[in-house]
Amino acid sequence: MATTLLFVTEKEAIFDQVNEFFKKHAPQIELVFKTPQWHELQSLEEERVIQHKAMRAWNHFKQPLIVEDSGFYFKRYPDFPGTLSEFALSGLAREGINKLCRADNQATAFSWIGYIGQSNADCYFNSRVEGYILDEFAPATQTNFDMMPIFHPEGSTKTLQQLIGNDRELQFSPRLKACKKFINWYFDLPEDV
Amino acid sequence: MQQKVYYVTSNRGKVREAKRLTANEFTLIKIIDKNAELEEIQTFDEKTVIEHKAQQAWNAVQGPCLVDDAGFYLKKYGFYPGTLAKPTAISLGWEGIYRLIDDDNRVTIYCRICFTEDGINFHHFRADTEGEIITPPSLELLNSRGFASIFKPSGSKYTYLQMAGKQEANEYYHRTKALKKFFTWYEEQVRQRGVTYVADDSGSFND
Repeated sequence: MATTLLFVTEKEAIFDQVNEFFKKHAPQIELVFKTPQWHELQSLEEERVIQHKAMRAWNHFKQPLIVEDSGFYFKRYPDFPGTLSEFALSGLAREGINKLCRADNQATAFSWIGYIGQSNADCYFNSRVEGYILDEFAPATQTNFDMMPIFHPEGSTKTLQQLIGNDRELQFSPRLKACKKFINWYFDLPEDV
Repeated sequence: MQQKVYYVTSNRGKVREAKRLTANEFTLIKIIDKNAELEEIQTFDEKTVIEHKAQQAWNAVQGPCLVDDAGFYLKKYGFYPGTLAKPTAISLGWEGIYRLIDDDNRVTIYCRICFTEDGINFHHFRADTEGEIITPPSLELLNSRGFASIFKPSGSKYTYLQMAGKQEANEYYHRTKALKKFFTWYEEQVRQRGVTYVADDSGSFND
């Protein structure tokens, strides 16, 4: 019988990506999509943001759940935008991001998965991938305006968006890498499985 | 008798400014300093951010209290960074900010005051000042004095830093203007209904 885990995220596209991954790599877990009715914490510290997300979700749903947080950093501005990525992308839009890219478009993408289980114990898993931001990225749709279409992992010929569903997605996606770490931990599998 | 109001903030300079204003111009109001770090949430919506702070402030003091939130908007980018101005400036740094405004240095700096007596009803007072970000006189000054050393309000020949302590500051400082709006409104409330909260020396409230 499958174990049910809530996946509390604002974006259905993220749920779909992670849900597909779980179906393949952890079919014993059934993810249920829930949207948070609150805002996340304003902090530049990744750990604080993901912990706040997880605890806030737990306090609301009181059920085993996972949350996620993703973003990227410019190599030239090593603390930016990080936890503010979504806001920087929507606020600066194409023109502002391109200005920052002109100096150096190398970047690091990161993702966190936070889990809180039945006993209220929390665990966090993260992953980082080196790459670059496309200098002249195409305008994204309002609902999909995040780093996925503009972040190009090192060694890949595709953006994170283009990698969705691809055989090599796990190799390059920090979100799926963090998910895999969680699954390995959850089922007590070795790290490299 | 004075109406007592908590100013809940971790910045003592802001409290000093509010006390100076009430002592000089709004004598029906007495500001009580409540030192507290308030959690902030991540959204561009000014009202949502400050009401979240005001709710925490009220929970801490259980009486009339005010909080403030300030930020700036780069004209070129519309509503950015706004409520996220402080973490954006810290994480991006001045070099990044200057890169973003290399062809349009206009900026609007704002301060919003939120006041509540009951933790349910929130009153907002907002003031902004338009101006531009100028080339820093020196890197040392920029690093030590930050935004005040490079923000020059429209219509003034001085930066915020240069007008500190001068009469001109009352005309341009966004926080001063917002506080005055609040104090003007609140004094009128007090005149109409009388003083409702009197603090003893410890700062606790008695109806």
